[in-house]
Amino acid sequence: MIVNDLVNTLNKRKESKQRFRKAHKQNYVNAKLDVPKGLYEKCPKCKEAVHIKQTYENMFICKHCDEHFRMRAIDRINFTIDPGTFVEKGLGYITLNPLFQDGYEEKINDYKEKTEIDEAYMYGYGEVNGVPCVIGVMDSYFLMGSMGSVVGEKVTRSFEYAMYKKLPMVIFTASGGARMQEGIYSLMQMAKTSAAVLRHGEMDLLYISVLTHPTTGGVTASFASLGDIILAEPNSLIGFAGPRVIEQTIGQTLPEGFQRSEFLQEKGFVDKVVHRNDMKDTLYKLLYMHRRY
Amino acid sequence: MDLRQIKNLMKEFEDSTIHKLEINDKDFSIKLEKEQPVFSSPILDTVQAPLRVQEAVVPVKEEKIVNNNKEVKAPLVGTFYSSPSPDSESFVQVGKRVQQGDVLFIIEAMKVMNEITSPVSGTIEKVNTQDGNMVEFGEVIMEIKE
Amino acid sequence: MFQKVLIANRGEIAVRIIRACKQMGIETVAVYSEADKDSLHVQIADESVCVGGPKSIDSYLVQENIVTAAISKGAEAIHPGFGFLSENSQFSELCASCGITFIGPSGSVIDQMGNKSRAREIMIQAGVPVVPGSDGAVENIEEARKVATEIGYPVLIKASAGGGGRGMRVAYEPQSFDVAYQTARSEAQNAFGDDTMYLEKFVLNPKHIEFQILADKYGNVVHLGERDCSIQRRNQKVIEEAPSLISDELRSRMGEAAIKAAKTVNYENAGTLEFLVAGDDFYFIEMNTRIQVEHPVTEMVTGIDIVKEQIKIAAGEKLSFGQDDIHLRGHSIEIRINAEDPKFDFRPSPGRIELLHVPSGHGIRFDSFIYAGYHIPPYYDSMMGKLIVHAENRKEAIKKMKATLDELVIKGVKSNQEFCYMILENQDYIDGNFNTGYIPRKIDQLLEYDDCE
Repeated sequence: MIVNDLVNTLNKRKESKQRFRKAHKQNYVNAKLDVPKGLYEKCPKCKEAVHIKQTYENMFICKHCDEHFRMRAIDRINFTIDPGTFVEKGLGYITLNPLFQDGYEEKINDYKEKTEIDEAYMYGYGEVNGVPCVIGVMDSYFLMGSMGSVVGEKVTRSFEYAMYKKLPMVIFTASGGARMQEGIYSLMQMAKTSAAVLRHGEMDLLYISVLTHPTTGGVTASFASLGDIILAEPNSLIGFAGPRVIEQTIGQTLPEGFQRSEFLQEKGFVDKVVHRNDMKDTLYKLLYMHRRY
Repeated sequence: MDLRQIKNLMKEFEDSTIHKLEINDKDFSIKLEKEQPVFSSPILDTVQAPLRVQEAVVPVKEEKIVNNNKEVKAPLVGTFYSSPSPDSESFVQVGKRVQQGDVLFIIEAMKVMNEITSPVSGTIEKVNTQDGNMVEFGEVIMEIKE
Repeated sequence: MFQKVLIANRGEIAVRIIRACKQMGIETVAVYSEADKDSLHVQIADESVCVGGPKSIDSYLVQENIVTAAISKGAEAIHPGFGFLSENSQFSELCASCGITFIGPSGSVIDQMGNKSRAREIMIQAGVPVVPGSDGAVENIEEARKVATEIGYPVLIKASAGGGGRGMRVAYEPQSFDVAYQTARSEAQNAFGDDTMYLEKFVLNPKHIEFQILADKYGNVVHLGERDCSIQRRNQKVIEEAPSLISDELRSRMGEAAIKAAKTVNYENAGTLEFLVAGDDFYFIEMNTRIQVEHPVTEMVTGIDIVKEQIKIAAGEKLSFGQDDIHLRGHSIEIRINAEDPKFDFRPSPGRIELLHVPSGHGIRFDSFIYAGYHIPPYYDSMMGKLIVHAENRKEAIKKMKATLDELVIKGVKSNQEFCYMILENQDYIDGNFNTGYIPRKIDQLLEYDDCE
């Protein structure tokens, strides 16, 4: 085997030279060389290491398995709205504790500090490739994106603002459902927001809802499902009740992909599953087609 | 040399794999020769040579066994850790029975711990590296006998 | 100076870099894919690490494996060679985050110059002549059409993120503009994920002249003269030479522009500025922020070891020579010997090298990684090696190259050896009468060699 002759010769030469070279530890760790913490993290789906900053630049999509990670509301706005055109509205709301739940106020303050936002929803005026709209985004990092009085009020106000300005509405949803700590006040928001959607629609204005992972509970059962056009991100959990409750209630095993965007699209609850890379372009096309003069 | 010594010498000679022995002393000489055994190698002038022949036989047998073992190779470059944390017990040891999907070891890269799971069920036959060593892509870390 | 360097590449350039490191007393770490286990660069390096499967995307392009290998082996610097990760700003930044010196410019400079329309903008601002065209990227097809009318047809529609001739279309007249624009745009989106486009006037069959520059960390920039790489086939260079046949006056004007361009972006390490030359005019087209395949011809005429200079610059040394110390002596020609069959549309011909005979002598150099018995893997590009000669003048260099090519024997795979020989015999080539359209024009003639294998 001629190949191994050269390989063997050079290997033998290397080995004999190693003996004469001063002792050099194979795996010595040069103190200056090391991977800093916080550079990489694990993708929850494929378990591969992803570079945090690169993933952010890649719109929080895992480059190995295409898993769409959750993102902050402000990042979603930056990826969707033309730079410099976003004007935030509806600032200054304060969350109260109407049912005097223990620890609720502390929890709110905790999340305010951690996430640096006031509540789980933000909205404002923005342009998508030049087409104006009102955009609202839920932030699942704030108390799981749960809908309480403030979120419900802000959602309603965003529709009212859109009616005032005669603009279409785009909402990105991500929520664990109605906020338990505010009880009936949270459930009431379902009715309030649905009414706002209806009044906005009576003015023949377009409302696109984009369901992202996870969208569940009272949000699914109200304004999220009322879009004129309903889009969803790939493989997002979209549902109302939790899968275990459903299984126990109907006494059957749930089918593969149950409560995921593609399943809903198949069954007609979602109009189109759109990859995050194509989202801005899709929204632009829809808004452009529906623009009013 | 008396007869008993000669008989012992002949017996030793018979049992050994050398085929020619000549001893020359002051007043005594003896020469012993036998048929060259078919399997002895031509370099058999030292007593050590037969040992080498024996050893050459054994690895062939071992390789046959190795082919039946499932090799668990490293899917990336990183540092091998046998346990989930420095002070806990290792995931597996030689001889341990594992099921498909059990965590065998961790390869750390970029400060992310990658758990490597077993592709088959069986017993850990070999562990080829040590805690804290760098492993290359494709390096056979463990061998499992199914 | 570094004690250990990891070479994040393979094949001929990896061998070149490892040799330079060994000559400087630097320990070397090679990385290889499973298909490259027997490759020469692995054998001559002091240590080696397997970083993945046969395909480049699974091995030579896996940044994490390479950085981890460098850290584990204690390599303070990584030389990326050319291709692969050499112009990947993310990789450059990753190395920096981990305390590893990337032998090349910083990530932000790579980004600036790697984005072709952005590089164009920077050059315009710096006062370096560019091909007449759009000021930077064009927003949409209407703007593109307007610019095209302004600069005049024919126009070349190019992708900002492009390279290797993709994402590029020529529109010869206004009627064909729209189709050309849309096609180029979607090709760019598919190939590079970025459909930002810009426009240039299409210069018909220009000469492709590139200038080699070296810049240290202290703002000192020099140019090492130019190379003429006009002998190309489908945007791949085949024969390169230094210096070109441009006048001394043009050379000094272009050299000045090259240095000005490099200083504008605070460039560091080795780089090449590509220009189009038509008559007495020259236009900047793009900058390559890495060492190039054809660097040997510049090394032969200047006597400077560019790879060693790269390492010295990255280690923080000041350039040991100024522009006045650089003299171009003689003439050098390089031929890329590829494992391909020209008679069958240059299809790659991987296989086992059965016999290798390499000529040698005064001014003869063969930079390669093949050896008798080596099996060329099918996963990578087909370049086997580069044959380089240096002589007193161009005429002598051509004669020397022909004699050397005559003696070179590579048996076992098909090569473009005979094809290149035909070029060297061609009167137009000898007279210097060629531009980038040379091979397409003469292809039939050049394929008339005897295939004796």
